[in-house]
Amino acid sequence: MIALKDVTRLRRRNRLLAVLRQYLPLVRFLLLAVGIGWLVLLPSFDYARETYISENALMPAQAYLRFNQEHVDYARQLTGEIETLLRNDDGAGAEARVQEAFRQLSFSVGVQPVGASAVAGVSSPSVNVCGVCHAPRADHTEALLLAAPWTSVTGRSNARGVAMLLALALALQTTVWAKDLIFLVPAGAQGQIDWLAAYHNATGVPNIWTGAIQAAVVLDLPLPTESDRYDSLVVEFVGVNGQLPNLDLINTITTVAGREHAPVVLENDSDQNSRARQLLGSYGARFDAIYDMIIKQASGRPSNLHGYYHPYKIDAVTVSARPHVGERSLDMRQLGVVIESSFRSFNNLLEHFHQSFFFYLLQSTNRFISIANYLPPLFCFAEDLLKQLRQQGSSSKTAKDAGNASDQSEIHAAKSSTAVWAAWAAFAGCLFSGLVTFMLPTPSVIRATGDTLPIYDGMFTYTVTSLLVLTLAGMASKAAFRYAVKTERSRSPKDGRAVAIQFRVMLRLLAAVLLIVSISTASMANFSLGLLVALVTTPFVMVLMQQVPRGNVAGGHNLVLQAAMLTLSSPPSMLLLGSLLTGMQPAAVLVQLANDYHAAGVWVYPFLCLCYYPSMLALVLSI
Amino acid sequence: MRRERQIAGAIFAGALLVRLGLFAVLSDETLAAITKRVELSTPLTDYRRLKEGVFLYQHGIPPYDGGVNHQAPLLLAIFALVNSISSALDPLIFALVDVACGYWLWKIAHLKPKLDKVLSGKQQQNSLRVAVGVPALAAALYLFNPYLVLSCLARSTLSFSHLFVLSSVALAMQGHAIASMGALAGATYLSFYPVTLLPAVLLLVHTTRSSTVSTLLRSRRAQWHTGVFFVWLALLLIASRAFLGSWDFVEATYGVILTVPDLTPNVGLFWYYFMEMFDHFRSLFLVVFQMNALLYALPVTYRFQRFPLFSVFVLCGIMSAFKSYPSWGDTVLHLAFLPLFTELFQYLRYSYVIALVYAFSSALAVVFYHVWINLGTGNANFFFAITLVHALGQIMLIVDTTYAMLRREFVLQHPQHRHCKVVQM
Repeated sequence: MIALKDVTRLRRRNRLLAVLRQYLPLVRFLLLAVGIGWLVLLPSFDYARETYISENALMPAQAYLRFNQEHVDYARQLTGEIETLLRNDDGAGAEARVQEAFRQLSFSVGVQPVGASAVAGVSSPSVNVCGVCHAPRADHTEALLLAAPWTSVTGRSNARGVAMLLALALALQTTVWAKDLIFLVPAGAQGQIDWLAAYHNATGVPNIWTGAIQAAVVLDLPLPTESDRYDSLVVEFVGVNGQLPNLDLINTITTVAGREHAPVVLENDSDQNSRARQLLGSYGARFDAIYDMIIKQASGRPSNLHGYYHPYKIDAVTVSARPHVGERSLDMRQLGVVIESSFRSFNNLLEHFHQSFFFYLLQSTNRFISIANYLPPLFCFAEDLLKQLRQQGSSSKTAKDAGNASDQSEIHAAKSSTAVWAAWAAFAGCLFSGLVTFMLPTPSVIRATGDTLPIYDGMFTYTVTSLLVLTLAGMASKAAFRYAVKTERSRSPKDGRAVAIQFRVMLRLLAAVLLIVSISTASMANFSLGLLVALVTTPFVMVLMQQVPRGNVAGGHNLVLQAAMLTLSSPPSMLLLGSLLTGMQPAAVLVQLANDYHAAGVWVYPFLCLCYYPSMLALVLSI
Repeated sequence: MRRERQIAGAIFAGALLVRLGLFAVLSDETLAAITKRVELSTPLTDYRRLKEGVFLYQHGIPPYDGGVNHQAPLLLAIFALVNSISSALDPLIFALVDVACGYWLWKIAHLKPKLDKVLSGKQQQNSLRVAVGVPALAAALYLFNPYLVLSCLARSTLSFSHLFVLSSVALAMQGHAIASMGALAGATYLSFYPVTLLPAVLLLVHTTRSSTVSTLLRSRRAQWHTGVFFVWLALLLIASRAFLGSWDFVEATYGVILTVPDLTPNVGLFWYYFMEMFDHFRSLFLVVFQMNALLYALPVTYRFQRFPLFSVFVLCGIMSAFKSYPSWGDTVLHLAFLPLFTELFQYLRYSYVIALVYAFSSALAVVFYHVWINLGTGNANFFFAITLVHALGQIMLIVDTTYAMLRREFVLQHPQHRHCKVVQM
């Protein structure tokens, strides 16, 4: 028996639900606003915690250090020597010099040739040279690594880095170590990737295995500089797919640098005279730092060679230096001491780095935002997209009612599967065109001569093919749509409108589901990429979903809009946009994206081709 | 009918071609990577473990020594035989088994309207519209389900169990009682849990308008068929004993299914709990967890005794959510029956949410596993959380279809209350 009380309760609940339903669109705007507001608030101090050393065993800056002025002089002399050797004779002399230096210290030496094409354009030895200092009483299961590539990522010679590496090798080998030390001079990014693969798969040369690498530091000190004084030490840490090293590694280096009174900044710290800093003071500076880090992470590219260590579960950073401008000053001795002191700390590690923060945004050297505080905006955007989906789903029901509803049976017929299948077919077409775009051969570089920009071959073919694929996808979608309308009309003559609406709603649903799932999946591996894509797409999807899907069958007046938007979202125009943002040629952007994926396993290119682009395409086709 | 057969033939041929084409196109490394996925291969169905068992057997070593292989002995026998011809035939066998599953599902879908007619009697004749194209659709959705295609590429031996379950149901609907019991015994022999389908399949065999559990219990023929089931099972076990020469396999297969000693991660609920648990609680929770998987068979079959095929559908869902070593392949068997119940679709309440949960859990399972195992930035909780979500999706589907079935039953009995809203007090 239903009591009166229950009935009133039910009525109340229904009223409440009706009110909620009425305000649902507002909730979506609110979510978007909260998400953006949260992002704006992130740089404020209240969100950030002070960094701390979590692993007590590290004991930074407690050791007696050996690196002194003699080593600085040695490094200075070597810099000139190696610089000259690098200029002559494709650097074979430099390679021999480094090997000789390692042999003098009685290290075991490994040499690994790297494919010549990999370091095209820059004249440097195409070999990796590594020397291993076996710790006398250790069990050779763990190792620390110091690397300095022949050439800096800036494209200039890294002779000073290599010289510092050798000087540090001289200084470090006098101490008793618990872990083996590996000193590596890799041939650029490709050399680094090859060396790591060879080391961990124990294939090919160098046939040297000492133990699991616990920490790695890359030295990048490009020449030429006016003097051997620098402004400050820069810690670079963003790795492949936005992976980050353990926070304790960065903390150790910055702490040690602080003790040595060596000025230290992070790679994402803003310039002294950046616009945001001048406008908004320290908030602006932190804003700059956070958003610089987000964009660097989202690009998936490592900022320096240390990034290639992260996929092997090796915590690594690059230490480079900013050129001297006047106020602050860092000399070579301080630099060497900071590295030595950090290595002595890493030597104390009992196992892995222990800090429990793997996901963080760094505001400055001593302030970080943990994942709990920066994830919510992404949730807001994802929730917002979900809410819009929900509304689409319910609007399809009402549209069906409104579209053509004289009696039950006809609605049932309108629910017929033709429109749904047609939408699936169109969606499959979008996915397929994404796949084809992904498989298209990328342009190849015609060797650049001198200072001119490199010329790319095959960009025209790429543009034409990708546009052709796009047109085909659009035509296939139209054909599926026409087919659905035709079959439905043959059954009941007036039913075209309902089918048209259903087709568009379904296509939109599929596109939005793909978008949400891929954003949330991407954000788990690379938060910044997910966030950026969500930030760009949410307002667009919102505007699109705001518009009730049209029931017109012919779709004539949409054609121009659709064609315009398709052109805008096509790969060539995205490349153009990319070239505007990065200042590179469109072809260079494409080559870099594809090369990053194939060489270093950066997921941005497949993500753009297989997730982002098909869902955008389907959304546009559903207008 | 002839046209339908042509369509079905095209679907089967297409499914076979897609599978063989993928086997041919994909590189060995890709196939090995798919086989390694914990979402697709469990310790019980892993192709590599099967190969290991076959290798040991062919070299005269007892195949269950070393505790790696947990596959049924007769599967080893089949693959030992195939291997003696050429191991390149393996992909063909897995593809053919999948297509055979599709065939039996097509058969079931064909027989379902007849079953409904028998069960519902006269008064609902007009409400039963025979949906055209459902058999072909069901077979296509099953065969081109990405979970199943991946499972086939992983060469998971689960598909053999699927084959026996589907053929048993189809044979039961055709009235071939002894063959049906044999197939069910085969399924039970391979993966044990299908034993929960026994009452439902018995009901299917004895489908008449008035057949209920109580008449079934009294019926001499039903008792006889139950006996047949156990005889089949005993025959299979004895054949295995004869093949191997010892009873070791019982502990290595059924023992492993029931006591869960291998805690390799999978998409089920067992591994994480039993990894974290203190040993003295182990037996208690083992009983609780296994009860969860097995015990629902009785109430579900009893409540839906008028709809035995629906019981099979629900029990397949329960099996795939609660069994000790589930994989995405199990989900496929559950989803396979869904297109058959077109009459329930209008009563489903959460279809949209369920579809989203499935989409999210499949994408996130892969990335969370990557974050945990490859990147080392996550931990086991990440992957376990997503297996919980996966189980949640399956349970929601079970709950929602059960609701829809009850609602439909109510509407058929009380057509005047068709538009009433149901609320929980």
